[in-house]
Amino acid sequence: MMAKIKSGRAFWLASAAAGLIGLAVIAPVEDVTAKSTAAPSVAAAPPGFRRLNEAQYIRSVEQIFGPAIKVPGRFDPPLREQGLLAIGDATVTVSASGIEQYELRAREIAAQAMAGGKVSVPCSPAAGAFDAACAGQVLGRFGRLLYRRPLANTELSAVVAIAANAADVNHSFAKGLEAGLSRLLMSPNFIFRVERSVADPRAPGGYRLEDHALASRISFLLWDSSPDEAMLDAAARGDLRVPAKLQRQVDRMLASPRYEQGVRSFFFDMFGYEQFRGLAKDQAIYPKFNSELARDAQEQTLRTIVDLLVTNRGDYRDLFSTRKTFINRGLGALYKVPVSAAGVDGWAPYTFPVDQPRGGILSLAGFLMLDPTHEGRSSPTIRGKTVRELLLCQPVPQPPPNVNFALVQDVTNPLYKTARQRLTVHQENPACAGCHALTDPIGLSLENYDAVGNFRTHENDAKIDATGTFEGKPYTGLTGLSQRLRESPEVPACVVQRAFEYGVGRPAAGGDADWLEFAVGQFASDRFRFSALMRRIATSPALAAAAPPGPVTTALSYDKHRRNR
Amino acid sequence: MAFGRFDGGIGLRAVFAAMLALASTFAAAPATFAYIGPSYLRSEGVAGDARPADFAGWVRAESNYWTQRPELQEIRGIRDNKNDLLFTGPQAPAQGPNMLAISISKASPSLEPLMALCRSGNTIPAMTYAESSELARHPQEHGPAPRDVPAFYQYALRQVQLACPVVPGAPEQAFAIHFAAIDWLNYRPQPAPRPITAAPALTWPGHTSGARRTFAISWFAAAVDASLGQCPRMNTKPSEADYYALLPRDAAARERAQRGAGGGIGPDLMAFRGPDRMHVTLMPGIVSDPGNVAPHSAAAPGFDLDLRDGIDNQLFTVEGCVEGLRRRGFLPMIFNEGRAVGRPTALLEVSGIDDPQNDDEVFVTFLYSTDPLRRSPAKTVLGDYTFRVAADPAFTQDFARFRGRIVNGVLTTEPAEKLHVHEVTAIETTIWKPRLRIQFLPDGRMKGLIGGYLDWRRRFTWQVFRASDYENTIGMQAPALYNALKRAADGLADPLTGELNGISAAFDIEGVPAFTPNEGTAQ
Repeated sequence: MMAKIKSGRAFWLASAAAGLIGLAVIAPVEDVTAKSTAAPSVAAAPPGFRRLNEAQYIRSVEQIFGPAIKVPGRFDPPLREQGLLAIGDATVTVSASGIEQYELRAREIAAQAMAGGKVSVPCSPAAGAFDAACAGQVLGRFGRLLYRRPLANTELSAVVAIAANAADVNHSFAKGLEAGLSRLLMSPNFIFRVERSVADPRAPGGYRLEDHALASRISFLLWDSSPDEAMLDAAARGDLRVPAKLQRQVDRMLASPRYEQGVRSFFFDMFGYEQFRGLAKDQAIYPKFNSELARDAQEQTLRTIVDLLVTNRGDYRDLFSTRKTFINRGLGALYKVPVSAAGVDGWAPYTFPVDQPRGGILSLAGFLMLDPTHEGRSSPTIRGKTVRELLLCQPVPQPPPNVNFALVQDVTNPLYKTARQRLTVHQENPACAGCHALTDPIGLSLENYDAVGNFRTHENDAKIDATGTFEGKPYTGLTGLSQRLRESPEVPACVVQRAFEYGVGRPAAGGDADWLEFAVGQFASDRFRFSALMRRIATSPALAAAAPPGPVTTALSYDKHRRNR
Repeated sequence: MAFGRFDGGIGLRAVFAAMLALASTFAAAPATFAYIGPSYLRSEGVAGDARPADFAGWVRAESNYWTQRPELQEIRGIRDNKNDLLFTGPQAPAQGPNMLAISISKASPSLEPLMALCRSGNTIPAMTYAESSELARHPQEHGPAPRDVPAFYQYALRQVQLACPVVPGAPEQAFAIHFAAIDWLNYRPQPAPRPITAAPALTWPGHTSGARRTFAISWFAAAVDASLGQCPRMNTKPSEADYYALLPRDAAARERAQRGAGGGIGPDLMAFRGPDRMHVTLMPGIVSDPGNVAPHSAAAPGFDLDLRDGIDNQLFTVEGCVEGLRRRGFLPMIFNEGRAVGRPTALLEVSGIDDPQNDDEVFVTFLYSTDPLRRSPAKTVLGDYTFRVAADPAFTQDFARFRGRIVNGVLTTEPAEKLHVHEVTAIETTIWKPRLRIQFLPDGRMKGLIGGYLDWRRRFTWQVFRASDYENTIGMQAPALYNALKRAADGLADPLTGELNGISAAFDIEGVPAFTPNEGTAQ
């Protein structure tokens, strides 16, 4: 796993190695994991090595040291792999400049934590003296929170030694602790979620995820942040292998306000919202567009999701039809609707009237404007591809090389005034027709909304034909498409697949198919309540399943498996 | 009449920065807001012809200012949102010795006795002077005066000596009243502007039946944009020759030589081009009328306010050939830039619409919001934003409602009493007997006209808000505009004297579609 780290910094590697060695000294606890579940098994994959993304890093620091801590510096960019950043996190490394940033960041966070009284020190050594036991107590506590597991004795001794040296040089015990905290913060054991599998006594020859690694998986699944002390305590006690106790921990986390953030993070990932960063539109064509509106568009959909799925425990499929949302001044102007007084300064609940052409998250700007590849026009192809890939988990192939897009891109051609007319001509090229048949019928039915989400009835003075077909069924316009999606079994199946992949940090494989189909059935029996799905995943053996560490093997992907069925 | 969208190329920040720089320039220069309007002087042995009962027998003056070199007053609203609900007392000094400058109409029967008194060189033991508390107030304040403020401040000026430089051809005679001591007779100097409050002018929302359309005002300025072909030439700012014109030849030569290396006469000095270096933007009648270039036009935008003789827009004849007052000129630009950032935003709500093409009764309500307009990167005001109606009495005191009707898609209202239009950094405009004619455009916007009368003296004060700097920036001469406004006055007759205090005017108004919070319906 360490081969993923390209930097040559010796400390970093040594520290990581120490962390991995340290795991082995954690005392095993009695294994009482329930065997009664009727759930099929999943493909056992090697434990992961997943870099914390920027938000996870910041959130973890705030959770451990308090919200006032400022986290400086740039982070290496995320990588989207097979539909999720969460999968990309398991394949990325840290660049050399990224390590420098982590070092700088660690020092500044440690200094803030010590200066701001975020670290309670249970001793008062005399000036110039170093209390190793006290330092070990402090650094051990924060090391456990940062590494998301207890520190091995060798790890703790190494960090205390660093603290002692710094205290000696600076004639300050506090400075020594600061140096120790800084060292913990720049360790790969904090920056990466280092998972480890252990032998599973229930299944001779089998493996499962080590308890603290499972605690992290559950915590990042539900909170998108590090486990808290209660969860680490539960892992240390072996509670996560006792179904009733595991259930209690998961229910506690689902009831926490942090769960909302977890849901936001999941859908941020599933819907590709990292593309909002730097999203640009031609402001000569779309004068209301600016970076603030783009942020608002993203926020609106996330608020809508949380409100429906978390606050109101609604049916996931209703995301495609609900008229209830949240709105602010900028979005009110975009949608040409009045907002309440509260909405002028911030966000306010809003229900689109029935005479408004809005309902469901596809009708919101968060979906309609999220196309980084077209600044001056809408692209039915991209929209159709987005629906296929993000909502239905149906990958669409990239276009072949040397395709001439001139006709599609020329919105001034008087012969082809609408996107439908332009795409119809484009599809006369057989090399293009196949994929466009997948995407365009969906995307063309959304053409009543321009590239930022303004409603329109005409393009270049020509009336827009917003008819479409989905799974062989005809419909008209966005409302019709949303209804078709709401009825489609592929939609809940996709969110189940993505939630599983998000939790385990790898793409679903053919060996996961039975479990996923089982989970989809449970999702239906739970009336498509998203929190019920998250609870089932968090408490399922599927999340804890692991293969012994070893070379990664190529497995038949789940997508391919589904297509082959 | 053009209704093209304003496309000023200068950002608000740059404009305000420029104004701030100008204000800084003026910090060391003498200038003040103009007191243009009647004040009254009583002097033993001088019979006056003032008509108000309180001042019967007093001498009427046409304008005034205090001190030899009047101190600068601040422009409010450049650095922060200004507060209209203040009351500032007079500019008169609290003690002497000091000076009061006044101008007396050369048509006044009191002129000769006063001139005789002046020429005698005698010290006059006492004079009494009265000036309007409203005219003496900071011109950016708006709202009722505190109860203890008299309609006219009165002062006893003691041990007075007069100076009275004569300018042949000037319509008014300047007097410098030097006094050794001053007693305030009915008011006490205040250390700072006093906070006041005001009652709302109406209840909002009012009419709730029928459809409602709201617009955020994106443009408001006098409809004086004569075409270039209608102006034989544009009016011009004063020249250096104007500055030296009233100096004795040898004194002018000395000053020319002295200033030769200094780059000439800046706007800070230019205002002091009256006789004895008196201030001509504060007393514009004391020099000869340079003449105002008026447009040659048989037509102008506006209303037939008095229902006779066609369109009444005399302001068009005064300002039509003044570059800085035209649509792309400095003043409309700066004020509409301020409007664009919501300090405040004016809203026009049309309610009670049963038929947008023909409706016997609709209501037009003029409101304010402190929520800013939003603009595109190209500075176009954007529509469809929501604006909360202001609850601040500074603005609610000026809400106004008009009853109107729509005929063939054109909405015309009956006159209301007045309409006060707020501005950011400027003296604000009150339109008397206002009425509107507006049209809904197919793209959702609105355009129209507001017609009515302005107090012409107040309009002049607006035009010389920054003294000679405005002459320079706008391209006009204060004495020319003053006399032109006075000549063109055609309304608001004084019930006592019959004097015309008003000038007819029309204002272009444009709006983009907007919303006010609608708690009960859509949300």
